[in-house]
Parts: sequence; C-alpha cells; structure tokens
Amino acid sequence: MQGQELQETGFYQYKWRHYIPDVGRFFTVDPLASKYSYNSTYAFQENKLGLGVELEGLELLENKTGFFAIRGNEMMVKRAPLTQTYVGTDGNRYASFKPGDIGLTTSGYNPSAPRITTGTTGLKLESYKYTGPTPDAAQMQDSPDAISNKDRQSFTTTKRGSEMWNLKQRSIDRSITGHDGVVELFKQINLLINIPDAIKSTSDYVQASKDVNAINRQAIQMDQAIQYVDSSGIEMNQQMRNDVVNFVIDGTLPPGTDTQNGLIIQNGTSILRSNGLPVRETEEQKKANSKILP
Amino acid sequence: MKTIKYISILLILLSISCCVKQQENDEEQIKKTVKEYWKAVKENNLQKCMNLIYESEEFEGAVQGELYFLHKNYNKINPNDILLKNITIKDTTIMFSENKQKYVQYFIKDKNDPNSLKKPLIITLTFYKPIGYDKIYNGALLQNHIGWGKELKLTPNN
Repeated sequence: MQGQELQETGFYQYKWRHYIPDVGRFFTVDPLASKYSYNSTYAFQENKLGLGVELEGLELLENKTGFFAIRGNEMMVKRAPLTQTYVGTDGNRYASFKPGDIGLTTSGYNPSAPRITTGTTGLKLESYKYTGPTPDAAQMQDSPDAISNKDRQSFTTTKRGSEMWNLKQRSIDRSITGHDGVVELFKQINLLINIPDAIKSTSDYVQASKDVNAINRQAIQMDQAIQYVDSSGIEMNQQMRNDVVNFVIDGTLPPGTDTQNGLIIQNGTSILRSNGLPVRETEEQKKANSKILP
Repeated sequence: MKTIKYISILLILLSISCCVKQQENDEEQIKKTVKEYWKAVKENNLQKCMNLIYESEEFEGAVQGELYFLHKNYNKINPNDILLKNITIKDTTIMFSENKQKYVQYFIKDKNDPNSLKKPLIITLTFYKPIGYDKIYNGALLQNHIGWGKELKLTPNN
C-alpha cells in the first residue's frame, strides 16, 4: 500500500493517521481538515486515486518533488509522484530509475540530457537535499522518434538509424554520378565528413559508461550503508534506523536535529568508527571547537 | 606486382604483431595496477589507493572503509601475496565494443565458515580503456564484505 506497512491490526500506519483498507477510508480525522475544508475529513488521498500518492496521511501529493530515503530494507522515493515509482511483487512501492535519468533514450544516448555525473539528476548521496529528477530530463519512450527527412538527407546526422539511409542515398548518388574519378573523390569527402561524427559518438559511449558506473557505485554504497547500520547490533526503531543510514551515507540529518549530541549522531558515529570510516565534524562542531581555541 | 604483394603481406603481419603487442602491453599495465593496489593495501596507504581509483576524491570515505577492511583482513584474504600470482584478466560481455571493460575478480571463502553459510567475499577491479588502465574504474570493489571473516553467531531466528 504505497510503501506503507500493514499492521497486525489490519490497518496501514501512515505517519499521521491509520488507513483501513476494507473501508477505503482513514480511521481518524485529517489533521489538516481545517485547511482543506472542501475535502471529506476521512478521505484517502483526497479521493483522487491515480493522481498521486498519499503523503503520510495528510494530503495528496501530486507535484513532481521527491527525495531518496531508506525504508525497511529498501531505498525508496519519498514524496514522489506515481510515475517515479513502481509496485513490487510484495505490494510495496519502490523507486524506479528511468534510463532517461542518466541520458539514455530508445533512439540512443542523449549526451545533452541532465546527467547523474554532473549532479543534475538521478540518485544523489545528499538524501535530504534531493528534489527529484528534473522535469526536462530525457524520458524513456515506447516508440523511437521518427527520423525527419531533414535528418535523413543530412550527411552529418547523429540520429541513430538514419546513417544507413544516408549510405543508401549515397550509393544511389554514386550510381547516378557514374564517373570513377568523381566516386573516388566523393569517398574521400565522405570519410573526411564522418571523422568528427565517429569521434563524437565514441565520446558519447564513454560518457554513458561513466554515468552507468556512477549510478552503480552510488547504489552499492547506499546498500553498504544500510548493511553497516543493520549489522551494528544497535537497537533502533525504524525511523531512527533510517535517519542513521542517511547520516552514514553522507552526514545529512533531518531538519531541526540536534547537531551537537543527538542520538542519530551518536549511533552513526560509532558505526562509522567501528568500520574504519572517516568521521567529519559538522559545520556547527567546527564553529564550536574554533570558539574554544584561542 | 610481386614486390607489392610481399610488401602488403609484410604490412599485414606487422599490423597483427602490433595488435598483439598492444594487447600484451594493456594486460601488463593492468597487472601492474592490480599489484600496486594490493601493495597499497598491505602498507595501509590511503593516498596511494586514492590515486589508483578513478574519481576517488568524490567518495573518499568509501575508499577508506574498503582499505580498512582489506588491510585488517589482509592475511586472511591474501596470505603470502597469493592473489598476485596468476592474475587472470577477463573481458566484460557488452554488445558495443566501445564499452568493453576488463576486470580482475577474486572470490574468497571465509575459513570460519566451512559449511558455506555466508556468501563469499568478492573483490572486483574493473578497468576501462578510455580512462586508462592505470586507474581502477569501479568505485565499490568489495561485495559481501560486511560481516565476512567474523565468527558466525547462529541465533534461533536464523
């Protein structure tokens, strides 16, 4: 049920309210009922199913913002629209990465799309600061773009699929031209024109490979952070565990946390130390320490 | 005409030998990098490890964590530098030749775990020609390392 856990009571526990799946309604009145007077106070997801997800028992979330967080044993998108998640075999909702997030489309690699290696889209380590894939990111399409005539007739096209067409066109041109000398000259010209294209396409492959490598590395490191926390043997509730995992990944803390000696920092630091991972001072600690020193 | 034939055959042979030599050079370079990495691990030299891994400045903490694990368990993982003998380099199976990578992979069984209840430790070093064979391409070298080498504690739940 939208990534929430089914309780023994038969209800789904959202952060603010309990949901009764049999009735399709919430158990208690909406805490934001006064703000949304047009809505039924017990309605699930503002009665607009299919438009988004229920945000922790408060309201429908349909805007395109989301960040990565840890829930249970999985990494998932919190505050994300339905289009960025999918339902797993266990019925939970998980984050899905579109090939478009790293610049891949069905018509080939798009090097100018927002990319994970430049930090413009995709999975990011700064879990609390991530605001979701950018709206202009390339998307995976069901069908490839039709190649326009302009692309087909251009010899320097970079569109995949149109190169062969150009070759055919050239062979027709050649048969029309007919003179050996002209054909030879033509071949040379073609070669010269195509060299920059060949170089460009190689660099695209390299860039795509770097993108995939970066996404793979970050996913493995997030997975390892979860394992470090789970194997530490420290008793934590689910929320604390998730916060500690995020702290172990990149030192981020939920907004408003005590940055001096909170439990998240205590647990996180001890996990980092016992696994030989470096512990950095937070900005506040640096300031505090510099005040003590003369 | 004959001389042209001979010259062309000679050229073909030369180019083949050049290719073979290039491949040998590549493998030599990869082996050198692998050996340097293990040496850096043995010496617990973080800076050297950082220099050997591609874009390691982006994830210094992870490199440090892996070095800590490998150095601590060095005698279990690489007793008498056994992993440095017979380094096997494999090619990845990828459709496009531009994205072919080479890798060296080790599977290491835990000696505390004779019944194979745990997954073996997997160490993978990937190399990618466009960035150079003197750098390790993948950032996360270890798999299944968390809890590896520790005494197995069986609880009724397991």
